[in-house]
Amino acid sequence: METNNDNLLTISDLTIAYHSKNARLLALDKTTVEIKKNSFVAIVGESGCGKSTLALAIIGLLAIPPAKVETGSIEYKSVNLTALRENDRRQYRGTEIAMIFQEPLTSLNPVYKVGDQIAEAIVVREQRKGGEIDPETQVMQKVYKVNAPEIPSRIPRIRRSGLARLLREETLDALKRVRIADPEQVIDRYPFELSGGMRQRVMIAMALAQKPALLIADEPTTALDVTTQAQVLKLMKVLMDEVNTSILLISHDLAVASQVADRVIVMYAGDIVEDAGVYDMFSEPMHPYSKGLLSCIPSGSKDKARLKPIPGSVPNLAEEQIGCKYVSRCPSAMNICSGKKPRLIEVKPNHKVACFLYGE
Amino acid sequence: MLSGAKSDDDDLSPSNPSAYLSADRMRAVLSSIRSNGGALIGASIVAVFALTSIVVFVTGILHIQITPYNPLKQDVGPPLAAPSLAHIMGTDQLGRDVFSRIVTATPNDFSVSLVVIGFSLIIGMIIGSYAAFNGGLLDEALMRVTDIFFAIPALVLAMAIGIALGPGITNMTIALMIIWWPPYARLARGEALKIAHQNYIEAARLSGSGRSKIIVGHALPNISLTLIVYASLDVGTVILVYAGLSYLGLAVRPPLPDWGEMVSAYQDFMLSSPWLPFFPGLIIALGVIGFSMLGDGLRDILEAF
Amino acid sequence: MSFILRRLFLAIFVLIGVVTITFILSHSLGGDPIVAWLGKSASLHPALAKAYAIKYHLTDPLWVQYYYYITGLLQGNFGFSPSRGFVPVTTVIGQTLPYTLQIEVFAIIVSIVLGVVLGVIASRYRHTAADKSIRGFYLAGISSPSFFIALVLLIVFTFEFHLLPSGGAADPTIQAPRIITDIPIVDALIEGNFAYLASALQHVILPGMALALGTFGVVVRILRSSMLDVMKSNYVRTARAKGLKERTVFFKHGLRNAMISVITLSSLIVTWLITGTIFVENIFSYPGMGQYVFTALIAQDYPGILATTIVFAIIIILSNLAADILYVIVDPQIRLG
Repeated sequence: METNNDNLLTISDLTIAYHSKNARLLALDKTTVEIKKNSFVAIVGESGCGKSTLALAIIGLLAIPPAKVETGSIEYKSVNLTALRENDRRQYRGTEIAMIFQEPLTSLNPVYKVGDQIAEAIVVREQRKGGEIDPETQVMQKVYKVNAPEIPSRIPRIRRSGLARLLREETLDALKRVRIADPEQVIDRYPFELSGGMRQRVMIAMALAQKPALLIADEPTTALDVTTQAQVLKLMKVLMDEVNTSILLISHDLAVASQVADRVIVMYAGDIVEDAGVYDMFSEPMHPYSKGLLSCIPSGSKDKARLKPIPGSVPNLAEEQIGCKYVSRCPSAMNICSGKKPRLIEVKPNHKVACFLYGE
Repeated sequence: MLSGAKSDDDDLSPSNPSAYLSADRMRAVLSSIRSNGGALIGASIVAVFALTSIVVFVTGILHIQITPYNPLKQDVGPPLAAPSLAHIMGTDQLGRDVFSRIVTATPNDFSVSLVVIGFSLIIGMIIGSYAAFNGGLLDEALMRVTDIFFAIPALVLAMAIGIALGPGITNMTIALMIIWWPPYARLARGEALKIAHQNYIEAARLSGSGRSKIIVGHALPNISLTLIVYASLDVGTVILVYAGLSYLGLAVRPPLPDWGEMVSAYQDFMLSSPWLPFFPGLIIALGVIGFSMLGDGLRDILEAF
Repeated sequence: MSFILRRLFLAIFVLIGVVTITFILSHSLGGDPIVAWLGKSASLHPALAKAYAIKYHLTDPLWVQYYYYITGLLQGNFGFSPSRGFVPVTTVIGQTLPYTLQIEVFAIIVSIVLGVVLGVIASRYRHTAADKSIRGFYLAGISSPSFFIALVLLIVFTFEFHLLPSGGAADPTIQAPRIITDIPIVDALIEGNFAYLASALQHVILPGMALALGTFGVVVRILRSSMLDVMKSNYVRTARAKGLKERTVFFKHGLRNAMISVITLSSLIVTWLITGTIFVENIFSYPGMGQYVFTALIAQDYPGILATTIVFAIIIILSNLAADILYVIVDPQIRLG
């Protein structure tokens, strides 16, 4: 694959498996993806298809003893992240690649105020820049050493004086950016005092406050009710235009993806099966699985047709699979499908499929 | 981890044996037993103690002596002799064989703890589950009574009752039984409350089962697991408290041997013969360790359920 | 706030219950109340005993005695202690309680600090040799009767290695500090009497350690398990995703939350410490309340036994309350929720 400088993230041939006492579970099978700058990409697939593994691998939060990166690389701004040692890898977390998670209710530390947690993130960012923050208050003195990679062990209490004030203002800005109505109130609240939707906004604010180039959102709306879901999604779309951050949305819900993403990648059992712009994906889905997913979406039309679920179930990832993994459920399966694994090929401009129906 | 439950019934509790004892569960339990070394060590220690207790008790009734020396007989060796081949644990100030005395005293601690725990388990479960299901006055009363018991250390309370009743193993056992059950009732109540709103309880209630029937048939089997785990870890505590009472002279009358009492009696000789108070104390600790490890292992195993 | 008030009411209720129960116990289960309250020598002077009995209402019905006892309590009158030469019980308690407090405070601090440090190490290096040896260490500790640990410490540190003293509260040849707070160590600190302070601390170490070694185990166990849970939590994952150093994540986000579970333990620990004190003070001849209970028991000194039981209960209840207050401070959900 050509790596050009347009790409923010290039994943090549990434194979990740989970090893337990007796089994090896193949989560990602030679995955290859590119994410460009300032794009909104959605990775869609059902549970266990490897999308979360991919997300965690990118940010480097995979639990490495059971998981193992067997082959491949993750190149971010021309740096191979998988080859880095943990301490260097960590430098990319938060300020270059940020991530928000599925369960907003438990993803914030219950004993610290929301504002303090956001401030902590901001401090990380400033530390990494070797930020020229003028140490005025005692607290700041302990916290900041110019050019030192030290991260403070105390969240600086947000007070009225000097640096603390700057920090407070930036935290308020972060909250305003995610359209929180009364940031002055929210900043001093504890997580349990906020609703699920609010907490997710706080998570987004916290992630964006570190000004990452890539924000990975792992099922950010799954735990929210439909109305809040729509609000958060709309927010993310708006933010995409306002900040210079690419968003990688992980979801099992194709409908959700369609509302916000520019580009949709469909995954199945550790493989990427289709990769296309959102309009192409919906007007001309090519892979039988994508077609199946689309027909699962209940449409608001008056047509009282039955929902068409995809028959069969996901193959056992612990077993070696020869050939296309979708073959057992595919209505258009051919002989060649069980013998060889289809490669991901660009059938139309910016529309890739891995299916023998469209060539080898 | 509940795999393999193929029935529609969402009751995966002990009151539904077919789902509860499914093959997958059994397999998980077996593998956790095998991998749990601590439980095996604990079980062996407990087994040794149990066996010794039974043997000593039986031979005691039959007036057969199985210890190397008569535990009550003085001057079977030179007084305050250090451990040697003749006397594995040495002799005490009256020339009695320490090892024989320790072995003979085994049934005391062992049986007292089992009786007290057994009693507390049963009474606690019954009172606790009734309080949980009936609520109201009984529940409030239970909570307040247990609060009061919690505020007084078990030993102090047992001491007070013990003095009033007079010394002796039986009296101490009674004293301990009186004060030991409240935590069990409290725990049982808590567990019963947790399951009170589960589906199968509602189902039983709707189908017209009487309250007692629900409690006995459904509640007790479900909460018994947690309680048994707690009990197995608690046995050691009873042993420690009883040993304390024995140390204070409230348990056996000399010259009968009892571990705690021996530590107290031999304490004065620790300068010249430090092994004297050491051995009975060590045995007490060993007993408690054995039960603790067994309890931990039991908890790990039952968590596979 | 209402949380604390509720706990306070509960505490008072429990205290009344404790007093009542101990009172009933001593009066209805015991033998001749006259002997119990006036000592064994009472039987030698029957006429005098009778006179005292009437004066102290010992022949009145139980509820009358109860009434007098309670009113007496409220006035600070716990009766007279036969085993201490008929000195008022309150005086004896006043003399012995400060010493016991010295040991208890030492033991609690050591127990918790040792428990937390070892618990953190055990959770950080779990399943390694360090974890297993810590486990063995604390298992031995909590399984051994307090008198056993005390004896072992005594034999090793005093008789074998002559490192620490074998008994008493301080070297009697050193001048004791003036009575300010009535707690010798604190008084010595205030007064700057470092000679006494050093000696007193030396005498506190062994009995304090004997107690602490018996109780730190539960702290290790709970903290280790709590840390393991917390480090798997979602907010720890978020903290890592923010790019924080693992050490920061471990302490600021992990330990801070795990410590909350240790607070629950502290009142349990106090109960165990008090139980152990009775034996430990006896073995180290430490002039505290444990010593008093011990001798009172042997002498069947009912006023003494009753009073010490009540004082112990008060200590436990107060520590429960302190734990509750600590909860409020440490867990914002309880404070504001």
